[in-house]
Amino acid sequence: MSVGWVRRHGVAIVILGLAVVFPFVVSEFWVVQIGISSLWLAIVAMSLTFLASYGGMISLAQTALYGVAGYAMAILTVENGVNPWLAILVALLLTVAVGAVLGTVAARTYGIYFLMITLAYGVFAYYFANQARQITGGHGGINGVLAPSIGGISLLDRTNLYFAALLAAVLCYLGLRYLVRTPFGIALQGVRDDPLRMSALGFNVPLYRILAFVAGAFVAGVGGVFAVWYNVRISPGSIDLTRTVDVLVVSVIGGLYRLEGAFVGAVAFTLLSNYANEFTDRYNMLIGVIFLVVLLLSPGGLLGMWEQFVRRFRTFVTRLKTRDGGREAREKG
Amino acid sequence: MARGVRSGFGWQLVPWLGALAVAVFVVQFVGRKAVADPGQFLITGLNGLTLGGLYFLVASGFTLIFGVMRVVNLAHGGFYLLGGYLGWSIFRETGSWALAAVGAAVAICAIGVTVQQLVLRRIQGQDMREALVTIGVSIIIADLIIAFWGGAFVDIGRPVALDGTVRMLGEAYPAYRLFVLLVAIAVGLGLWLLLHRTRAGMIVRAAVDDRHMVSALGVNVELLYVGVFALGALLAGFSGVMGGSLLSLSPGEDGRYLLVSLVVVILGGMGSLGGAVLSAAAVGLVEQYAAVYDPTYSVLYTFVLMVIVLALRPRGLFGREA
Amino acid sequence: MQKVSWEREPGKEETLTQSETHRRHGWVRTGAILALAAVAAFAVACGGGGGQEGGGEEPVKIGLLATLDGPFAAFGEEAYRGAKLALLEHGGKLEGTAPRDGVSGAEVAGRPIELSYESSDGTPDVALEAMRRLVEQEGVDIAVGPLSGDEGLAIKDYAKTQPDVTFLNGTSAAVQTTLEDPAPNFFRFTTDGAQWMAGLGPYVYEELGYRRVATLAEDYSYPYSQVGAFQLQFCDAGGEVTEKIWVPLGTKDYASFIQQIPEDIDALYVALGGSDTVNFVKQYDEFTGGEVPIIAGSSTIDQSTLQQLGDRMVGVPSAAPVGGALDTEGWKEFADAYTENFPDALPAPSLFAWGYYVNMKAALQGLAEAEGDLSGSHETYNEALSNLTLESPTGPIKLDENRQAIAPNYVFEVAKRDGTLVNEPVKKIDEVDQTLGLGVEEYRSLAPYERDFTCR
Repeated sequence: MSVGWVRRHGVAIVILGLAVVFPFVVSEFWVVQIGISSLWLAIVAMSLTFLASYGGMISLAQTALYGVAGYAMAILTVENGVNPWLAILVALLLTVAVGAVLGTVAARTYGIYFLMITLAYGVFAYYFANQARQITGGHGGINGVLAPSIGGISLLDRTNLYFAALLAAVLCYLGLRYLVRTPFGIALQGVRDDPLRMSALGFNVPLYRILAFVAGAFVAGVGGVFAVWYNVRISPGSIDLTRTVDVLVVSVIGGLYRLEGAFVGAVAFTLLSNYANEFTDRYNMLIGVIFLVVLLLSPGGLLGMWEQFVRRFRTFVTRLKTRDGGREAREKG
Repeated sequence: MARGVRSGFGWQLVPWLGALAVAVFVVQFVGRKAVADPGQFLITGLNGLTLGGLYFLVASGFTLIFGVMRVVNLAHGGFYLLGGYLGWSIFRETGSWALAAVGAAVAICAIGVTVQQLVLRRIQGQDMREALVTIGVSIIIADLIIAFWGGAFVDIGRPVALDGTVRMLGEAYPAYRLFVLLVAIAVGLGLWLLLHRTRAGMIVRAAVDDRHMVSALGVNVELLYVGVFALGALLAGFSGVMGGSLLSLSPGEDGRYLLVSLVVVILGGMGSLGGAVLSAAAVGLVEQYAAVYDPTYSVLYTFVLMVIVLALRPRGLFGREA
Repeated sequence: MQKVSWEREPGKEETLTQSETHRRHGWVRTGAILALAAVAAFAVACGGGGGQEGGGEEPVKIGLLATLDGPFAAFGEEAYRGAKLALLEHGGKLEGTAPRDGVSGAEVAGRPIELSYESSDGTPDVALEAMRRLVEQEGVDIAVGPLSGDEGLAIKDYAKTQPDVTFLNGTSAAVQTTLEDPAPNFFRFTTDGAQWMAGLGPYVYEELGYRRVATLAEDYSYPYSQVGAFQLQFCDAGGEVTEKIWVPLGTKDYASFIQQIPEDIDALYVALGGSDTVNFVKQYDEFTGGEVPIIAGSSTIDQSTLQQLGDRMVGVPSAAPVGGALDTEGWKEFADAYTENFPDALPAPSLFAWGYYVNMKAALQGLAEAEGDLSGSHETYNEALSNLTLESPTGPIKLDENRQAIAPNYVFEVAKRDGTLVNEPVKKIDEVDQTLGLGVEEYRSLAPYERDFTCR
């Protein structure tokens, strides 16, 4: 760990440091309802941001996928008493398998068509969860999904669950960052920019898109596992259209072209949903307006806005400096 | 494009064979049911067609806007519901159903133009961003409805002249349902005439095929866009009153009708009027037959239909390369 | 080929030189640190609240949870009205008639009442988050809510993790909430979905002469309990339920479900909610002529729904704990207070106004009897609630050992009075307990209320 390494990753270290200190400086309520909530939401939104920014696929099926993982966890642990670790494994494998099937059908469609077919997946999942009572418990869902213990450390403890979610979020983030820099990731970006040319170059375009969708499904599944521990239950209401739009709002507000955006969006969204009603009765209106304004002003979301602002500010400062410099030069001369 | 990127897969036939198997199963299953109770089969078919009529009314504006402007207006369901609630209020004040229908249509038309001018025009041509922006609009409209009407469900009620039944197939059949179907046919014909027999329609059709060329030929594309968006919104507002009289209106219905529009339009092929007619009927029929033959999972069948069609034809039945 | 091109700003990032990229990240870094520091400071500031101290003049914080978003939004407004009416009886003054307008000046046992509001959208996840805000952020002593059954199950589970707070129900009516594994600090002064059916089966059998009935209801747990309890008593009286049609949630067009109603029945039992009832009845009449009479579930023709249905409903029987035209003295007072304070609301208070009123009233009366003592884990207060006999508008209500209400239930028939439709009582059943008089053993041994619940 050289000085250079530390300097290069300064932001990440500071943010991670703050995230680690966070549960010790705030109330327990904040650890849960802002901390854990933001983290699982960020994981799910990150899967969407990944698909959108590197695969050119805006998917509204991410709630359906985290629902698959969440329901699998609930059914296995609550109703069948399966060991939670085995349950996690099965849940994630199942999510990946479902992701592969859904991806195979959806991968042939592009742009808006992809958006709509994935929306259909999302709504299908909601109705299925409502109706398949023998499997999903119907409208009431499955209650009492408790987080397990790892070697004596109980995740029922809120701080422990927070750190587990943080670890998972960081791992998902690093994993996706790694993935987009592999030859697969580079080719995926090629597919995003020009599928026709990539196809002509001999790349199996649908396969790349399917694999990306599967990777997204895995990450959404991880989010689903934490969501079900956070809510202590899962029901169709956990994956309905409102939640689908929520995930999209998080991704867009944060910035659809950087993975980090998902975290910014999730924190902003969670804070808003918890505190907006202290100054307005019309919370949804506020969310809608913010969503619109962000979209219209900056395609890069809050993160993009910040970068734009920084760029402008820097130009301004540089200009000031050169002007002062010029004046000094004149005065001297 | 779809053909181009498919190169790697040698199994194009697989989805078609799968679809064939599904089709054979469905036909023999429904066929047996039809023989067992032909009366129920026919009435259910009529139910499906009349419901399909409402779906076509809602989806026609959606497909028109997409066909010409490449804008997926995800606020379309919001326009529908807001139109319905406005129509209900007008109906309560004046007692006139016709006035409610016209008033709601005009009001939503004005709102549509406002949204188009204030929001969509700024980001014209960026189709995905436009789609997302309309989600924002729909969130705001949904909350406006709760703010003004307090989340209450409302029922506009049938126009007096149509509040009765007609004898059909030996049974009493609601007159209003048939009226919905007739209006849908009239609107469909009207749109067809507009598109195929007028100069404006010619321009619109040309724009569906190649917007850039139309604009290069000196057509005022801005005006065309406003006009088309206005017409699409008008249809949404009008169908809100039609739907609010057939069924009732409540918060959350916007999402439902948006989904219906999406499914209808994706199935038919975005921008294709004929496709919308066909798929609206198909969705209506599938919903109603499923409700009779497999009630528990009935709400899922339309989505299955959609996924099958998209797996076979990624741009829908009559979709064209964009 | 359409390309998703706007996510990136092409060429911008790429054209920056190495050093520029570095400097830019420097700014990003500073900004990120500042932003996070601000968030942390805000967190400390906001997260610090919630402490409780004892003392005579210390206010009692009561949290109110109902639904103002989603499909039950209209019910949520009724719920808030009902809860506020209970506060008015303790010296409170309405600050306005909108849902979130406060109530000032209410006082119990010398302690002022501070009210805070939260709203959910009817899903258990959101209800839980809202309740966490009330309990852990606002630091309420007593929480009243939620509105729907699934939310109720979620809040009951949560109550177990918060032993120092007392929870009272709103109108949630899932049977399991108090029957299976109840929470020691969750009190339900309203009856459940099965209790609400008490008396209807025998009434339609004996008084109306129905022998064969088919049912049509929404496909989830609350209608299961309504249909099940009706069926249980109707069978015991000697009747037969010939067919059950379950309509998936989200169905709006009932045309094809109406096709499935069998012809050889005396009446059709319908348990739908709100807008669905309106859709159904309209289509039912058109398709069948409405000749087979309807029997209604508790929320099927609740006061809020009756408005939209019209004269056609006159004579339809239903059962519920509450109805617009009850003639008890307490009800008249309650209904008058309701109309006086909320002139723009319904002609008579609905099930939801009643439920929140009853639970809030119990919360305040219990507090008065405990003389405002909320020390420790509310031992005195919870004891007082358990032993409370509440003089409610519909009759006396007391609790069983699971803290579930034993209360009167009514059979109603729709009637028109002074131009408005109301539910008029035709029969009263006193002291309906959760097991419908069967005893816990017997009641538990029956299959839980499900789609295929059968008679004994």
